[in-house]
Amino acid sequence: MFMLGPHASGKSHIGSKLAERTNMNMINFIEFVSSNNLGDADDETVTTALISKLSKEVKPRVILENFPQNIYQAKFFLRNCKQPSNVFSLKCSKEVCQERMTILGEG
Amino acid sequence: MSQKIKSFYHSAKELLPFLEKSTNFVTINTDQSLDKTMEDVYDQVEPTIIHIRPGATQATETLKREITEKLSKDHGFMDLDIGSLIRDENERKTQIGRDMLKMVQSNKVIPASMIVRMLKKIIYNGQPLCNKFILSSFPDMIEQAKEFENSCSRIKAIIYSSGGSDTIEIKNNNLSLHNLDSLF
Repeated sequence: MFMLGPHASGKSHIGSKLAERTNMNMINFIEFVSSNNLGDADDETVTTALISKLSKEVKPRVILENFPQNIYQAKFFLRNCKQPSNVFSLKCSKEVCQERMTILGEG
Repeated sequence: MSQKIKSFYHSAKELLPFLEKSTNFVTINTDQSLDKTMEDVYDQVEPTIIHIRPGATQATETLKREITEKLSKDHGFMDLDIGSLIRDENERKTQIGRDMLKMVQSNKVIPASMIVRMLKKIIYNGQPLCNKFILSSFPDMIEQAKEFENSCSRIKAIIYSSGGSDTIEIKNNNLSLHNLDSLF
């Protein structure tokens, strides 16, 4: 399952509540890239690394937050891995996102 | 506007239309309250769960069995019989099976939260291939219904015997936070 949306649209909050309710694991793609030193890697390399991680997951269902980041990653994933059961695109007005970021001290 | 928000909208121009065409794509409005947002998300992922209440008479009990069989055989529903599931977990010595055995050995009633934990595992691990379930022996008390709906899934409909007659009625469920039997 993919969970996409602008910064402060509620991806982490909604994703963690959903993961808890539906017995799923959640992986934040941005954290995955950073913790694996893949910041400078190309789209194919990071997506391959992600697919490899998914194949080792104990729980069969995973929520991928912030993935895919672009159309190349999306196409590569769909060609080389499973079709996601759902893709959630969180829509949030720019004003509300900005307001939430200010509250979080990120404004 | 924040650079992070700008960056998302830049890549989304191409990405979102592509995903919309090639996947099971849904847009969720998160400007609304968190409760309403979560309901919209749950609508997309929760299975169809029908609760069949125990029959009041022999005839309604028979009807209940027939309906359960028909839903299972003709419509692909999986009957989740709590007793069998607990025995199965126990025999397979799973963590939840061991936890339940401990409760029984110390003469305690298995709490609703533990039963719901077991059901959650069964209901969601087979998704999206198996997404239709019958609950016939659970929930029996309002606390169990609350626990199930708060932590696992909403119950889409309840099938129950009506009054003293030997008929069965179906109710769309939007009120399972009340005592179940008092509704009928």
